[in-house]
Amino acid sequence: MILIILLLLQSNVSAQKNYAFDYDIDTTLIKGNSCGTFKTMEYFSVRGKYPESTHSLLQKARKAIANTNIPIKQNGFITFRFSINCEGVPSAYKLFMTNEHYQTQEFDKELVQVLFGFVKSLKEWKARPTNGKNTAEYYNYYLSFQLKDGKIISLAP
Amino acid sequence: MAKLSAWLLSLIITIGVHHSAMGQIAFTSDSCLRQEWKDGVTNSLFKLYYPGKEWQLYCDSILKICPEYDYIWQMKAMPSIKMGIYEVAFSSLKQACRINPVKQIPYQAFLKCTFAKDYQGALKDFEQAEQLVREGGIMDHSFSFYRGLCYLGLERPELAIEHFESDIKAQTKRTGAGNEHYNSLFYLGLSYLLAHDLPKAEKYLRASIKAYSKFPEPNFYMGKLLAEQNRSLEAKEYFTKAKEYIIGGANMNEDNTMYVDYPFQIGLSDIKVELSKIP
Repeated sequence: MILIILLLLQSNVSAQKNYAFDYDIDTTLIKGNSCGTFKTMEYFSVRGKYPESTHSLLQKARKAIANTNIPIKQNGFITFRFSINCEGVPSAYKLFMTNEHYQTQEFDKELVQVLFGFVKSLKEWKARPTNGKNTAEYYNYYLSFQLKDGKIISLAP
Repeated sequence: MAKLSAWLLSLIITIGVHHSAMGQIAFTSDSCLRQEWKDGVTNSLFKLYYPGKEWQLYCDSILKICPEYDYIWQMKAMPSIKMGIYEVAFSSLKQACRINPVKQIPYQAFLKCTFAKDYQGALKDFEQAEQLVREGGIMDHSFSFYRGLCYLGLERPELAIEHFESDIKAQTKRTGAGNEHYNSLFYLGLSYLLAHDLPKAEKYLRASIKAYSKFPEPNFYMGKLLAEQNRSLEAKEYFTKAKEYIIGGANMNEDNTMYVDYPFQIGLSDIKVELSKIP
C-alpha cells in the first residue's frame, strides 16, 4: 500500500536559541535596491560558498583574536548565521552558541563581538549566485567557530 | 498547539486515512516495521526542499508514528548540520545513534569531522565506530581516512600520517598497487609536508598528481614544498597549474565540498598569496 504524509506538528528547523539581541548583534535586514522577491535560499543550493578558503579564514580569525587581549576561557561553538542580498551585502545576523556537547551555552560578550567584527570584515560575498535553474536574490550563510583550550581550533563551513 | 497537534494526529491515525496535497496516508499498527511503508514515506520526504520547514514537519510526523525509525532522525538532523545549527542537529543524531549505533555512529562521526569540524568529537565517535565495524568506512572512505583528516585538522600531522598510511595500505591490499585514491595520496603527502619530511611528501603528492593531474591541492602543496627548497621557478609552475585547474572547475571531487571545505582545501586567494612571495 502506498502512503504518505502528515504535516501536522509544529516544528522549526532553527529552534535553537538565537542570542543576537542579547549580545547587541545587528539583526537588521538590508534589502538591496536592485533585489527581486525576498525568497531566501541556502548558500549550498546556489553554490554560494565564500570564495576564500576556510583554512585561510581560520588563520585570519586567529590573528583577529590575537590582536586583542581577550582570552578564550570556554570551549564550544559560536555560530553566526546571516543573509546575503543580491548586491553581496550581508545582514540580519543571528547568533547561536553551544558548548562542546552541542548544548546551549553563553560566551563572553567581548569575545563574541571580536568574532562578529571578523565576520563583518569579510567583503567578497557572491552576489546572486546561481546553480542551474536556481538563482538567489537572497541566501543564508553561516560561520561557526569552534573554541577549545584557549584558541579557535576550527572554522566551518 | 502541541496538544491540538497530538489530538489531530491521534484522530488521523484512528481513522487511518488522510488526504493531503502530497498523497494519501494509511497507517496500521505494523507500519513502522514494513519496508514498503518506510520506502513510501522516504520517497515522499525527498520531494520536499530539505532546508525548508516542511521537511522538519514531515520528519516530526513520521517520528510521532515511528519514534524508533533511525533513518528519519538522521534526515531530521541533516539540514540543520548543513546550516550550522548544531544543537538541533546533534540532538536528533543522538536519537539515531541510540537506535542504530552500527549505522549511525559512523555517520555522526563523519558529520562531526567534515561539517562541524569538531575533530576531537569525531575521533571519539570513530573510535567507537571502529569497535562496532572493524575496518569500516563511510561516504566512500575508510574510518582511517577520516581519522587522518581529524588529526590534520588538529594540526597533529604525525598522527595523521599513521592513519593515512593505514588507509592506503588497506586500499592497496584491496585494489592493487597504483589504484589508491588520489585524495588519500594527497592527504598523506600533505601530512608528511607538515611533518617536514619533504622526500616522502614529494613522493605522495606526485603520486596524487599522477592519479589525477588536474587536482589543484597537490599541485599547490607541491609548489609550497618546492618553494621551501628555494626552487622558485618550479614552485611557480605548480602554483600556476593549481590556479589554472581551479579556474577550469577542477576540485577534489568530494561530494560535500559544495557545503564545506575539507582540511587544507585551497582557494584562488591562497595561490595569489604564494605567487606574490616568489620574486
